[in-house]
Amino acid sequence: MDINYTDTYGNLSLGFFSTGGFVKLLVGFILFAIILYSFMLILKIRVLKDTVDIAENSIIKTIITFNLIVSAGGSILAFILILL
Amino acid sequence: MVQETNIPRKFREKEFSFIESFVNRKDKDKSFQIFPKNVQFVRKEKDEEIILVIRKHWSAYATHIFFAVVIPLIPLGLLFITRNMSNIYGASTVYLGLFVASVVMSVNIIVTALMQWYYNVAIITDKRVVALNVVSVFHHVYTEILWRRIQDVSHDSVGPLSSVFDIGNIFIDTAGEGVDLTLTFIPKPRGVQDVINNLVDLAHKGKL
Repeated sequence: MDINYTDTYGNLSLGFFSTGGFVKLLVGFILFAIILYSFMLILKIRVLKDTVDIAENSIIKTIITFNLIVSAGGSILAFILILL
Repeated sequence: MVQETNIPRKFREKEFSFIESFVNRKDKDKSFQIFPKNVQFVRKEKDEEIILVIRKHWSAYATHIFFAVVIPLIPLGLLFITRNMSNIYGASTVYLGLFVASVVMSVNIIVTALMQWYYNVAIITDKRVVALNVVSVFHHVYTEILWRRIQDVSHDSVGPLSSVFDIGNIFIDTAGEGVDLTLTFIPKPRGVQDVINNLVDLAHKGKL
């Protein structure tokens, strides 16, 4: 028996998935995780600074804070671009 | 460069044989700091002198660097592969968004590596060895061993990277089973082992 796959599946709409909805959702979760991770880095630095205090600690703290700002800004921008 | 005059008076005696190898040393390596100033750690005593601060060699973070470079290439690769297939992931701005997201991810990987490099530190003082190992952002290990408790010190140097960069692992053993502290990716492991052995000897003789 011949099965015409074009007729059977041609009109099938993937809806959410066909427009990359799954990718958008996944990237959204990843971006949220990145922002959370950047924030965790700041908390970790506070603990480590209490354990070992080395001369240039403030430089690392500045870098980590800058990283949180870049991560938050970049993630929002990336999410807007993906949703467009 | 460590001048003879920069060496604390306490260490100018002949018993500290490792000092000779420190004097007039020209390397400005941040991974190997001799008699650094402004270093504090939990339980540091007032009269305790810090001799060495050692960090892992940068090659320990080669995988971080590799992933930080490769991740932003993935959306570009996807864009190249799907250039003739319309609407696989929607509009082309999705790829731009993915690229920005991957750059943010790479920046986080680099910053994590920097944080790990900075805080994965071994501090050698005249009383003890202190090691802080930041495994991940959720896990760190702080170890402290007094010189008089140390029984055995050894080092190994395995693989091509260790030959190229002169790096190795140092194993510090106290009484009891197994190795108690392992310092990995340590630059100039022979020199560090020499310092530790010298200090352990002096501690066992009661001179420290």
